[in-house]
Amino acid sequence: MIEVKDITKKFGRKEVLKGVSFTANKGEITCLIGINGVGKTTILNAIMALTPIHSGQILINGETIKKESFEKITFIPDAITMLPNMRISDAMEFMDDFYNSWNQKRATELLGFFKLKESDRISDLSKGNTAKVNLLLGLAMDVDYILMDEPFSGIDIFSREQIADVFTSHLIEDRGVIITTHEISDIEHLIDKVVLLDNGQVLKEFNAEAVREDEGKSVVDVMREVFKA
Amino acid sequence: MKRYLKLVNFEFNRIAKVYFVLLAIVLVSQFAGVIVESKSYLKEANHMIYEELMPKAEFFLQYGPMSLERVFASIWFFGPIALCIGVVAFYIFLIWYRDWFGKNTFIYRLLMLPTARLNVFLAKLTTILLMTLGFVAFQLILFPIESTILKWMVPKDFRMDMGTLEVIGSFRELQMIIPTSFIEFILYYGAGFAVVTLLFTAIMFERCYRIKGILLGIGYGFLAVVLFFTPILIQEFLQNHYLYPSELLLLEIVMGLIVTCCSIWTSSYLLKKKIRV
Amino acid sequence: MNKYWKLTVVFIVLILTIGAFYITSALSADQYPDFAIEKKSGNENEIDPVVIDGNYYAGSAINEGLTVTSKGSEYKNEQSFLERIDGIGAIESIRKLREEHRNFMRGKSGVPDNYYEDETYLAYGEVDYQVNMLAPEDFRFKISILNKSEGDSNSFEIEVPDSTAFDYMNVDDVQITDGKLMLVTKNMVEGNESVHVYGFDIEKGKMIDQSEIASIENLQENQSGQMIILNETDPMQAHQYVVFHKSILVDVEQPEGYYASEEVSGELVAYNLETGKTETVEVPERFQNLEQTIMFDDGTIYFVEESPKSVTISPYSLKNDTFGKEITFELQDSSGNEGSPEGLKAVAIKNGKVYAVTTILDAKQSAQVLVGSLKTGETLYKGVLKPTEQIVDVKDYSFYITDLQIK
Repeated sequence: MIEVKDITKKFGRKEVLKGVSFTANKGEITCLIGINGVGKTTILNAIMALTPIHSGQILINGETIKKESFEKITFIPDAITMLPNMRISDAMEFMDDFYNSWNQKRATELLGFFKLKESDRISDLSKGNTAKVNLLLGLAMDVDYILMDEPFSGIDIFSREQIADVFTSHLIEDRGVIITTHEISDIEHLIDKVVLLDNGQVLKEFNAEAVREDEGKSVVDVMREVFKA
Repeated sequence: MKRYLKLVNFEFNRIAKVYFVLLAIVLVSQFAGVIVESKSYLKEANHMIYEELMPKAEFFLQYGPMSLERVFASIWFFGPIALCIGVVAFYIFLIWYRDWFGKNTFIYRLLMLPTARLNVFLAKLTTILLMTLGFVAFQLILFPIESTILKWMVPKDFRMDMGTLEVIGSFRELQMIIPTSFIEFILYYGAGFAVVTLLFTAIMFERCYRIKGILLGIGYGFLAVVLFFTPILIQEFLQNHYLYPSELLLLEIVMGLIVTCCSIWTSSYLLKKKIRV
Repeated sequence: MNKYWKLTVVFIVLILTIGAFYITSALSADQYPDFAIEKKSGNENEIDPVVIDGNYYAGSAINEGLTVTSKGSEYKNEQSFLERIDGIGAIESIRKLREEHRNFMRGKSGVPDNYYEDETYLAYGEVDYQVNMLAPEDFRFKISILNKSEGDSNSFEIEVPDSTAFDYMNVDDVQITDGKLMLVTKNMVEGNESVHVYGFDIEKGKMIDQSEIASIENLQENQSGQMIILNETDPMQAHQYVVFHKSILVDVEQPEGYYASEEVSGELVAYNLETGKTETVEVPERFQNLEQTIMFDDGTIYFVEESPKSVTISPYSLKNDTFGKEITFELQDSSGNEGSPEGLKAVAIKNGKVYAVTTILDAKQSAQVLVGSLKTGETLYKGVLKPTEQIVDVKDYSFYITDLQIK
């Protein structure tokens, strides 16, 4: 379980996170929803210790993050984390070199799934293919948690479908996923849990399936209610 | 340790192409320098002896024999060395900032490696050190070759052959880069290492706190320099040279180690707790 | 191919090259030639107290300091690095004091004039002052005395009396007689130099008395004056007299158009530290303008004249106030040096003996070493300073003697 407990964060005088708390479980897809600039990316960065928080606490399986944690949790930011002059094969070799949890077999499988060529240079890839490589580098790891920052933004419709397919495949299965988006429609049917954010605060945290079955509402319906109120 | 070595290898390969090009520039320029200077010396000698009919002995008295010293005084020799120094100085900063800037944010990857973040810091530090010492080694290899080229170019009567040690001994500027005693070598490059560590720490401050960080970095640098020179400052202030030079040197070495350890510790802390992507 | 190859190659080349360079460098340091004094005639014990400092040069690159004694030569680079940096610029007598009394010598100058040493005491005196924006101020004596037999030392600082108008002050000699420490100083007040003696009670750490020994007054417009303490081979030893060379100089235009100072009158002022009396000795005209070769040792002033072939010494005894017999010792400069006789010999006088050595040796010439008795005029020792083995591989080596000391 990833526990985010009452975290606050300021950029200069501006308070971007004002005591955010939520949890994300293994085997579930948790979606952080909110309009742009609401601090979604900052939350993911904070979980990965890529930005300091002013107060609060983040626990992964009950512990604060340490170097071994990076074998258990991976982050796919909205830009690729490899050097532009690398070939896809170089990037995969780099991952294999540094991570014990890198699964070369799965990486090869994903390469086929996304129809990517190993010998291509990252700088030569289209936006969609760059996003796929980025995704591949995260998904090919045998980790418990995957964090994804806006995996669908700025990508053509076919690539979006391909990426969305990943979520229903065995590639995700029993892992815990935290995904951020401001555009819910592509994945609404996939997500288990929703955390609605606005103005640096959690407005509502709810189970998508329960809302669908018990109240007969879609995630978008709930969003509408909450944001109007 | 294994991941540290992998990181060093990775960092080195990132700059390797530029590095080998620089080595090539040094080689070509210095060899060209030997050839050009030898030719111009011989031309002068021919002119003076055969056209102006100056006796050979007087020519030597006025012009001296041809030796590598003459080459080293030229831009052919010091130009590429200055270039290498410049590149290393620039790369001390670029080696960090290249990971933050541009479309690809490689710093995410480096900070998410399952290894202490200090290893990233140390790997970059090691890369700078390797580049620098690599230049030194390369220059040491070039000396005897340059000496041989000179032997081909200039007849024996007109030249003065010098061994590598003599070559270095005859130039103060060269002794700054390649001191002739091993202890001085360690001291010079140890001091250089401490300075690079300090600069890296200042960069870490900037990367953590951005504009405020520049001030913090400068402040830290100032404090570190003052701390380092405390023994000398105290002696100068009190006008009392209580310590013998050897004791002062040992004390300064200890201060240097303390300052360097502080820098590394501070950087490690910043990378762990305060870094921003 | 192994992906580590680039790093591996660079690393190995780096280690091997730099390693090889410093190993060669360390080995070649041992290859400098040894020098020794070889006896030609006389008693070789005579050169036991001789310490010669110099530099060995070869080509344009090699310049190494070394010390030659009767036991042979030692290069500075044979000492450890730390020993070497402590020894930089220090002459033999100071080096020895620093070795024997390391703690006492902390923070003390490298000028032998500031020290006094006998069987019981090692004393040190200097004048310290602050330099502010306008003028130096706050002149203070800083005195330290080590009782060598008891091993304890005491230090005290005393303000220099009437020093408000001082431009400059320097300690030229330190002496102890009957438990009284005396500092002989040169004071500069409003452009006028004078020599003073200050006496201190060692036990109480207090100043007892002070007096002016000599001063320069009544200078004419284009004149300048100077007072220089006479060279003594060992300024630290106990001596009854201090002797100053007082000279009046006048600026004279030279044919080439520049001005140079010429001595118009000179006299030696001798102060008897035991009696407190001053006496004056006129400098004979032939020794004027040769102030660097007037020496003083044990109550006798020696006028030293060098020629390319010899050293001539005229003693003047302060005890009898008379000139002694002029003595000439043969000491041949090497052939090529006839043009400039001065400065090519180093001469020292101690305990009635003169020690002299020609200061340059190279492939063509050895340095000549001479010890002569000033009492009898006899030559006690003659020898040459040269490499112990013929130097064949270095063509243009040379050895310049920078300092001659007698232990």
